Amino acid sequence: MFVLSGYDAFLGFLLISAAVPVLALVANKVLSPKSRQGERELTYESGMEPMGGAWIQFNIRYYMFALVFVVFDVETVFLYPWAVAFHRLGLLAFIEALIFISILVVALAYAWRKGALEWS
Amino acid sequence: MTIASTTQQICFLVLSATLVFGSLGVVLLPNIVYSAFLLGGVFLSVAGLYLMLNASFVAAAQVLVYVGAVNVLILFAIMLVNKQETLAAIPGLLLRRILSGAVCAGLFLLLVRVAFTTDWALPGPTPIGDEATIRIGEHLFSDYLLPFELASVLLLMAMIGAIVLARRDVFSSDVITGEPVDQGLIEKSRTPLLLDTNDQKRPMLENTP
Amino acid sequence: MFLPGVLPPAVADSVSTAAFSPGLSLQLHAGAIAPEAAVLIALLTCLLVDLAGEKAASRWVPPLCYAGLGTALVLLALQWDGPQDPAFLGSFLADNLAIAFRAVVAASTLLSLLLSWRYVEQSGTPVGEYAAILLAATLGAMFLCGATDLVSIFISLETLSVSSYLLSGYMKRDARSSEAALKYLLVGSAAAAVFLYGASLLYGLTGGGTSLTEVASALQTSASPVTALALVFVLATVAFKIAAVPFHQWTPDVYEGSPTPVVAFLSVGSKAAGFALALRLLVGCFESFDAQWKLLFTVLAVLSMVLGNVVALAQTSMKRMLAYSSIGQAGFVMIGLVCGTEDGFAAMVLYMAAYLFMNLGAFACIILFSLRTGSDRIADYAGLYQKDPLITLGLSLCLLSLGGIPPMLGFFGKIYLFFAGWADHQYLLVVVGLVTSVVSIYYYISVIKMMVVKEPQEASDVVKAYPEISWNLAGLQPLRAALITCLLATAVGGVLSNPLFTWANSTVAGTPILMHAIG
Repeated sequence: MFVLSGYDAFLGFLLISAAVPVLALVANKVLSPKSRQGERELTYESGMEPMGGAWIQFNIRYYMFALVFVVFDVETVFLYPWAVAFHRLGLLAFIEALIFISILVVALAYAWRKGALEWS
Repeated sequence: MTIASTTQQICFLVLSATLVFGSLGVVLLPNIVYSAFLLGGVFLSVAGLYLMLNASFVAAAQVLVYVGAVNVLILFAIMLVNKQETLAAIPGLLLRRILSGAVCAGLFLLLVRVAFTTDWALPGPTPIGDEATIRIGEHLFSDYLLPFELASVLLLMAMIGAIVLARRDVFSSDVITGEPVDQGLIEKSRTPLLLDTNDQKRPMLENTP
Repeated sequence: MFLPGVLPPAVADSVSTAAFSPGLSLQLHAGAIAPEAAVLIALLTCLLVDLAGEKAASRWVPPLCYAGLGTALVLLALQWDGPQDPAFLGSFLADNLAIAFRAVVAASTLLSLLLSWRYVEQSGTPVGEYAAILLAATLGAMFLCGATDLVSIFISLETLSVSSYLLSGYMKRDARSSEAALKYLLVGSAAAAVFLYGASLLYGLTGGGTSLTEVASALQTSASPVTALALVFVLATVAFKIAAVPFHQWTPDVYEGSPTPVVAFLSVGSKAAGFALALRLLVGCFESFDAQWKLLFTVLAVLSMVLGNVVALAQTSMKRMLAYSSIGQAGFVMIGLVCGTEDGFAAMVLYMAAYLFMNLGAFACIILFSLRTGSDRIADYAGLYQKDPLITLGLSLCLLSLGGIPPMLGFFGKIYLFFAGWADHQYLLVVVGLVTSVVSIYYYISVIKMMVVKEPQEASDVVKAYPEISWNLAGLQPLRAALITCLLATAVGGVLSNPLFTWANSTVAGTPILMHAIG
């Protein structure tokens, strides 16, 4: 039995948001004039001339952004129950969460100072 | 106010279909990038199934950890290596495929048998719905407080380790544009601090292969 | 189709809302982790100082580390024989066992750091990050010594492991270091997964509890095959951490490739935490499976002693030799674990403390030698006594102590272990231990012979080109201090070992789970 509340609205939003790209593509297909030649066949790349395959080699440093992202992503998992249960937990839990966050702020400061966040 | 059971059935069917076809695509598609993206879809539908089973926290964790973290790392790892080499034909490929298919089918039959012979109607705790995440929060800040705080140190170490190890920039020029890359991330090579200058045959510490 | 009751059982047993009354802060007994807090503060300050630039780091990081670890040691001394309320609602227990092993861990980090500065500077890697990662490993190991809850054990194990992987791969320009890190990561992740399987089985057996007391009481009543499986999984993790044969394959490669000061820490601090974990899990939880795990550990101990000491004979690299010898040493310590008597446990604690000084002393000499010559081969030590008497003396004393020659500290530790084993009728273990000790003495002595007996013209090329001894380079003074401390403890500690015996015995007396196991 499904007992979680509030997910019916979520389902509605999910359906709508799933319908948007489908509708956009289908409407385009139906309404647009059909001309299949020349530049029309090319991939759209923000006005640039498309070149090469889509699978290009990333610079290794982008991996660092991914890793930094992952660390804070996992942090969110820990903070999510804290946020949900916040009104029940009281001051002590607030202090405990502050300690948790401040240790990770050191990590953020480190990443920033070491240039791991610079996108050049 | 809850979702009607027909809607549940439909959701379950849709999720299972994406799950099954997505995982088949992950295994069978030749292009590894498509496989990785499909894997993200598979993870998402698993999260949906968790949601259907009233485990909202597990669903959220599934999305954050598997879709957000694991899948992103897999994609990045794929994009970092750009070896589109033509693979040599493996001898006896058909036999290998038949063998691995047989093993997988055996495992599948075993699982089906377990699923049908097990008495699943065990008396379990009643689902508490939205209360579950709050309970987890309460546990996290009372009896699991120590591991919770230690986890932040673990995450800190993971981040520092990632930066320390990834800082070695192996390219001297950008692969795409050909411009020289920012050297700030590259560890500077320092000369050994030994004061003596007369002994030039001194090997760099531990660097002899 | 939609099954009820899929909530994690941890959620199902509710936390009473009374737990969130103001009394919670008193129930936490957070004072129990004050030493760890000191280490954590040192860690964070090191990182912040490191952000200020490399000059500031190499100036301020060493004193910060000394202050943090020194404070931790003082706080640990103050906790001795203190009140034993479970801290953090049953996640942590500061009994004397935890305090003793945490002290060993903290002291091993302090000594390894003293050995590290010169090495890290010379290899051109940042000091601040190195110290921070090593302190994080210490933090994990210290928490592991006192953790009394499966979740805490796993997280602290992972903190220790992740930091150890990073440390072993710290010399990025050395391919062997990267190889060591990768091997360690793969094998260590497999071990962590195995532990998680075992822990999930234990969690199921207790019906949704993770604290070790609940696990122990659940195991009293159930003797299903699942329990045996959980025992095997947990035992494999412990054996991996203490590098017992046949779970040792990672050790030689990791030890050879990692930076030498890191090896010093791994061989002492990490191993001490592993033994503390073994005591807590096996003695504290699997009491009803005493016969089974003792049998398994007897096999592991015999294999470790034989293989570690025999393979060490054939090594040409000093680090690799010490890696195999440390496998053998772990086998000796396991004798005490298998005994399960008061003497056995006390001998374990005593031997770990002795091993701390003698092994780190040996590593100090190796590091100093490789700093001066860049070599690690045993053959290159030939004729060293003429050029560097201090290294020769230090290495000789520490190796003799590791071999168990009287009147060194190691002799008393080893004789106590064998005595405890004999008193508990573990004749096989004691005989194997004695025989393999003789083997170990052979290869230790051959190193000493290489250094001392060779004529000046027989000295190796490395020794012939030995540089002028000078101590005025940055970071060499701490190395000398650590070396002399270890030497004094090894040489004089044997003569004055009575307080150590008392200390080891009161460790056992002040630990409820050990006293309960003795009966």
